[in-house]
Amino acid sequence: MRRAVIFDTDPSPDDAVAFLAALASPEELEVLAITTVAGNVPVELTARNARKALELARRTGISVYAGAASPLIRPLVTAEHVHGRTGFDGYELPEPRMPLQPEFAPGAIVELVMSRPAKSVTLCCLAPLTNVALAMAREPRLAQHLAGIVLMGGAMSEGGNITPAAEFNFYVDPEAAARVFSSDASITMIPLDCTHQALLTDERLDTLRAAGTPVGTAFYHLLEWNKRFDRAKYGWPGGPLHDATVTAYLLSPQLFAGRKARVDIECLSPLTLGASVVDWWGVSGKPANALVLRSIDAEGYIHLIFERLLRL
Amino acid sequence: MAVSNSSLSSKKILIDTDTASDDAVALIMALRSPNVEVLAITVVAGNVPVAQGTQNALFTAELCGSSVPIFTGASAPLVRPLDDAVWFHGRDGLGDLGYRPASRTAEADFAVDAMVRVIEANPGIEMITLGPLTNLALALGQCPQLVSNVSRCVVMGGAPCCEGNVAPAAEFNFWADPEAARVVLRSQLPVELVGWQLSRGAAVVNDAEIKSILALKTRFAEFAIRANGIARAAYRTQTGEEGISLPDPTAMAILLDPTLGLVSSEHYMDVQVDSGITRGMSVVDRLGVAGDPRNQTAWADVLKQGRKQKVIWEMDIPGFKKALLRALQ
Repeated sequence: MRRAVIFDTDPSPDDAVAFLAALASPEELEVLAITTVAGNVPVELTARNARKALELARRTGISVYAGAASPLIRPLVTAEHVHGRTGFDGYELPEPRMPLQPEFAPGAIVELVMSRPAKSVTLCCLAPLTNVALAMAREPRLAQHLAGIVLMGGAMSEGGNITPAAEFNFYVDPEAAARVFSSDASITMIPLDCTHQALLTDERLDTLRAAGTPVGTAFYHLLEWNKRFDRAKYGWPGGPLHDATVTAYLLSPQLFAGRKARVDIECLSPLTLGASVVDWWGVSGKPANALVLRSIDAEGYIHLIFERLLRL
Repeated sequence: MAVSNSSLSSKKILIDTDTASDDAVALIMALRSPNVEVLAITVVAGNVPVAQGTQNALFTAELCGSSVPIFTGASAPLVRPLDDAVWFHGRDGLGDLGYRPASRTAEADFAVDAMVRVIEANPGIEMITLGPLTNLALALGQCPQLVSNVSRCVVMGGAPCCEGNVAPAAEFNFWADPEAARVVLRSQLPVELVGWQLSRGAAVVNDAEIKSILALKTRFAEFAIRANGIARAAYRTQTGEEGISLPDPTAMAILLDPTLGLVSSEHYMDVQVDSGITRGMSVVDRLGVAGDPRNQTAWADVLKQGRKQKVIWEMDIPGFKKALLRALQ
């Protein structure tokens, strides 16, 4: 069955891999739009990077919208230290020529979802959840109307990557994450616990270079640039490919394992701001609100995503 | 667009409201005020659910013969579920007497989009918020540069340096959506804070004044008093004070006539966004200590993002009552 999806994203290279792999999978996925938000870099840059990636892959028919320039109530925190000044450092891509749609991204999400049958559109969230929370503020029926939300964010036992306690996407806009997790939407959460199991080793990255295609070459260099940071920070043989896990889950959920659990987001403590508290053992007595994925078939994941990406 | 007998010198305003009993009186004051052009009324969830608030705003506009466009906005606070105040205003917010618009309906656009559009098109516009600050916070998120077009932003909310109403430490509008109140108070908007305390004590419309309002024998006077019937009883239970307390009309009176704000001063302010005993508390740096080294951690963001905002401490109460009476004539 073909599934309609919207990607909400703050493109650094792993975001772009996520939505391009989806666009390369038209039998399984119909990408309705790409909405961008401030996160890894400011929203002007994420809106530009999304279009750069689409033009590289010659998928210029996809509508791209720009959304929130800052989190719901906090100043923006970005991740240039990981992704470079542009968010796309490491390979020069031409300035995009395809247009940015004039509508505000949260409005576009509401329009696209509500104009379709209930439970037919899945939101794929690769970024701080500001746009999604704003869309829910505009249309209270949105959460119930969605087929579900599959998101990359949070950390359970892995520890945080932006603070000791928090993963970047939730840390940047904890209030938005809290709103989304308290909605009626059916949520699948892919935390760092999962993404840190699948690293882009030299051997895996080389398959992109070896393909010799424009897309393969560009993403080889972009991801290679990213990897330097992870290598220095974690001492690992390669960096994670966080966001494409969302696409992999949609294409091949059997690559993942997890369970339903209660997830709440810390919005108050300066020490643990944005921490995703997962009630894995059901000790809170609160009903589960998300499927939390904790393990991944790393080899199968990278193979699947690169095979799709290289179709472009 | 709004139809009014506006002149070039008329004051252009936008009203954001969670229309219930005291909001409705404030709307009458604005809609019946000469030389004031209400460009839009945006409705937010607060006292009552947003659909009910919209109906109440439509009814009030109809009562005033106004065709001001009315927009429905956020149905819940930024982060939290709505905790309304129907216990204070009645289930329908207007005293449960069956007030319903006969023919008017709301505009199709989302109120936040309308707010952005109206402010962008009207540099120098004055605005007032009578409910939780959700719509305004959403508008600031959508279009941060809005602040430069707003010449005054009167906010009915908070309980600066005094006790709250819905909680010991907090006034309802700030308590209902503390995150949104924080966004607004930490913005560069020129806020004038009209706290709940200004509508208490001698500002309460007492029994003799209620009689003289009813003696006006206008539909406005009758509606203003009757729609506040449940609120009048609830206020007595809450505070022990007799009469009708009108927080939103005090704020509206100050918007329409700034000279009614007798004593004011400018301070950094913030709102407590936790869920404990000080949820929604409006904290005013009255002594100017926020910048002291010991307060750096807690106040750095306020000092960096925000500005000193005007807090109104005393109102010209006879002037307010005169303005109220004039509006209901």
